Amino acid sequence: MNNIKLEIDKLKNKLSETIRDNLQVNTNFYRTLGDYIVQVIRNRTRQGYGVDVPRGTKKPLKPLSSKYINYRIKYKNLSSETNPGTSNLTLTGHMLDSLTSIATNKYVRIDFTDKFAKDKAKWNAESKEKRIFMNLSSDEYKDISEIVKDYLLEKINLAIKKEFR
Amino acid sequence: MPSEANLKFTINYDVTELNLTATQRKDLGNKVIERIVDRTREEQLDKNNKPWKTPTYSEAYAKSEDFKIAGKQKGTVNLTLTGDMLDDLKVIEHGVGYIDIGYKTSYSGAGKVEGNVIGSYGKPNPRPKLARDFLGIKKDELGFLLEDVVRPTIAETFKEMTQSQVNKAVKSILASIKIE
Repeated sequence: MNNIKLEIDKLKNKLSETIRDNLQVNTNFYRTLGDYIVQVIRNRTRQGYGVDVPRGTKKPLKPLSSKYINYRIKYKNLSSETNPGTSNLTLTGHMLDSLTSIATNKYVRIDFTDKFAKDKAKWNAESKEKRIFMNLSSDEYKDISEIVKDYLLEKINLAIKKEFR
Repeated sequence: MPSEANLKFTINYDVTELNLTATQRKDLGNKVIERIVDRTREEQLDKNNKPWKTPTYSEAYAKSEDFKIAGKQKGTVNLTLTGDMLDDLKVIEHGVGYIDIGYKTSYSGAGKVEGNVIGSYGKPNPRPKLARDFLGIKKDELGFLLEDVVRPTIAETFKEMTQSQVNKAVKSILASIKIE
């Protein structure tokens, strides 16, 4: 029985080591994750929802004033992604289109390609209507967790298959 | 009255090394029984995987009515007349550190079991040369069977290990998402 116990311990140690070695993610994965987050924020905002605080709940953005709606009615370059009366932080679409992600092997940063777009996001957040959208909601974090988890499990399973085939 | 010692054998294991649950003990016991029955019936080998010392049934037994009715052959010693004795092999008792396999003294075929194990066959004294001791298993075979029993535990441990480590990693990866 001693030999079996040793074999089992060895196997457990090897498994543990394989798992540990495969828990990191690389720049490519951060890039994919970043692109996904950009899509999440862009789509949700275009649907007219913001998230006030990190891991908060998505809420409809404050409605537009009638004065601004009238301005949008007359606006020639109104984006096809919105309507004059729709509050979805979209006039030409420039701000949300400028959303991007910058990935390294340590982190992913969600930012804007354009300083003016970044300023617009800031003004919207700081205005009295507080249209805050540069956060991820609790549900969005859950989805992202699942994506990361699936990726890591697949990586671990592949490594284990390779190690123990 | 057959002696209890001749009707069973005990698998002892070191509890500091192996922590088998009751289900695992029962499971291991049943696997051992399955192996004993196969080994005895199909391979006609004793508990050490050696051929019987007396490879044929006695003349008298071979001429008996029971033997003929069962359609047995003299040279096929598989301790199976009606099949009852091997079919009745059971895990008698098990607890932390041990598993008893065999027959209770109250078993109707206890005399037959003892006769085979010590070679007495109704005589007062054991006759080792005639014995067909089928009650036992070789250590290496026991090892393989034990591995089968504990393998699901390894899989379970692995699952738990993976889940907890992956959850930690996911948390740290989520923390590395920066939204400007």
